[in-house]
Amino acid sequence: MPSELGLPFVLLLQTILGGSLLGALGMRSTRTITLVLSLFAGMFLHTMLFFACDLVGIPLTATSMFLSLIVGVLATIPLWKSTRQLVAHLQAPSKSNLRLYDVPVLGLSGYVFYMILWASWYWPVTPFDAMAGIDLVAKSLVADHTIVNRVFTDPSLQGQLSNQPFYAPFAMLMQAIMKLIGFTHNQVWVGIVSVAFSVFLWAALRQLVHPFLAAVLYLLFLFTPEMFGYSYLLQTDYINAVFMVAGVYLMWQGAENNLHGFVLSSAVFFAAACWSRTESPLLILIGVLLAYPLLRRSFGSLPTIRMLGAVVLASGVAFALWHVLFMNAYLPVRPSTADQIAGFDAGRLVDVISTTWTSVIARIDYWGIVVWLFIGTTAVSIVLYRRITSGMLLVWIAAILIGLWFSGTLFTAAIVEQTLRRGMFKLIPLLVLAIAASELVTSASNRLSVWEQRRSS
Amino acid sequence: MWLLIGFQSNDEFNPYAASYESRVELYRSKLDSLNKIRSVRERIYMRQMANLEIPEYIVSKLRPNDVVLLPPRGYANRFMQTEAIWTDPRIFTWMVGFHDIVAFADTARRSQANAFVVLEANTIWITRPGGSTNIDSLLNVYERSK
Repeated sequence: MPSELGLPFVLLLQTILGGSLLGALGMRSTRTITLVLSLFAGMFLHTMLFFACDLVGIPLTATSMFLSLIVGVLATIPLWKSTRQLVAHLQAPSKSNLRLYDVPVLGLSGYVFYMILWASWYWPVTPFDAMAGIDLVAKSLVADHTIVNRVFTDPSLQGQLSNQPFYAPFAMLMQAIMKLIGFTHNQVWVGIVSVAFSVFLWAALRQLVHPFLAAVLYLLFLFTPEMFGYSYLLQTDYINAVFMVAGVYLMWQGAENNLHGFVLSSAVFFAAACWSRTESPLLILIGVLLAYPLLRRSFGSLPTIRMLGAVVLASGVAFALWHVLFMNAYLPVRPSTADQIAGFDAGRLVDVISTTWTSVIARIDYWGIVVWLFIGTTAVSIVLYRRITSGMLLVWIAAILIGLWFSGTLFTAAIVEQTLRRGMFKLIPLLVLAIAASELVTSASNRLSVWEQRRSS
Repeated sequence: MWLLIGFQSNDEFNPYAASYESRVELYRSKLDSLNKIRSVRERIYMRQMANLEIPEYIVSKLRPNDVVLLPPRGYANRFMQTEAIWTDPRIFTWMVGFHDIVAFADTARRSQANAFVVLEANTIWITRPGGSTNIDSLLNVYERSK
């Protein structure tokens, strides 16, 4: 199948696969949010099915890649009842709330999307970590038809692997899937994910505040310099941020609106986060512990424990499949993780926290005004309104920061200026959502809506 | 937002302008000429330059039983304007595929090497035992420039 046909075919089936699972878990949201999250969930599930082929000894080829996806979609047929409800929900007529001021925003972001997709399609893989790990393993997977390929067995690389080839497998498997479709030298899926994620954030912001304010915040996110730079580069950080933010968003909305289905669906994305970056379980565990009181307030103790248990279980399974099962039972070599874990040192933790602030968080050249705007709106909201409306978001922002600080302290390979800088990708979209959900912005949004209604009436 | 992007601005206090310029406008202005470059090798070369050319040269000069010792990065950095990442066996393999190479850091296999890379300003060649270059001296230079 030509790559131009193969890509839309795979993306469509991945969306159906992911949508079926989310539908079965009871997630019902707007059309845009549902479709984008279905694609992300489908990508995650497809890489797992492809990985399962390797576990049972099926050669990883274009045929097994397509068949694993088709079998995955067929396996969702028993879920057809819930999928049909989701489809009906998506087909329900909805009034378009696009405004005239959305046109330049859509035009500008469309132009930027084109450049992101072009760059991810045009350029070969360039980051050192990707060439030495993700893409090298993916290339050899395609040549040898297995993840246990020459990268791990050839004498020329023996003892020279460091940790890059052992990264959590999502990006490597997606890269291999794209190579099998026919995109052999680029990272076009990274651009697709970045664009889809930006669209998701735009839709999420429009649900929270007036479309004009949503557009301003959306553009602030889209042009955040450091995230923009990584929107077409093959790395694990951006995609991990996508999964993490999707999980937090669903848990937050689930708690706010008393929706079990949302919290259960968040488990899929937290598991995907663990499937895409190794330190994620630590961040999720801290987040789950901190989120418990807020969820208990919405759902009660037992349902909360069940739902958070599902989150922890799904994340643990996704982590263990690669890091425990595959590395111990399949791969002939293992990363020397013991060398990479330093003992806990309070002095180093303090150093990591202060360096994170000065060299990463406070840097306007990395994050534009997002961090300062978040601090400003949160502070003003607390002083003026004495209320915090986005507690769940703030809890997860704190959990991710604490998790990153501990990762930076415990792992010798984690360099604050690099690893934690890219770890901030998980926080920036959450900060933008928290700005939108702040009392200050929501009251401004309400006033704007009232003013707009008065003018039109 | 239009002001933040500041199309005409080179103000270093406005990171949005610099980011937009280097990530969107730069590509837009060169889109036509870049799209004319169809070869994947050329596209890799545009980003990697000598880090692609040197492994390609080495592979083109290999003899059937050669086992090449890759020099330490510090040695290669002395002759390159960009970081000599090709000395990393994973990057070497990414560039040109699997070949009989030994990383300088691989002390267990280093003694198996029988072909060595010599760099000088604008010059590169492969030397072998019995050739014009003293291998022990070369290894000493490698060791000192680690």
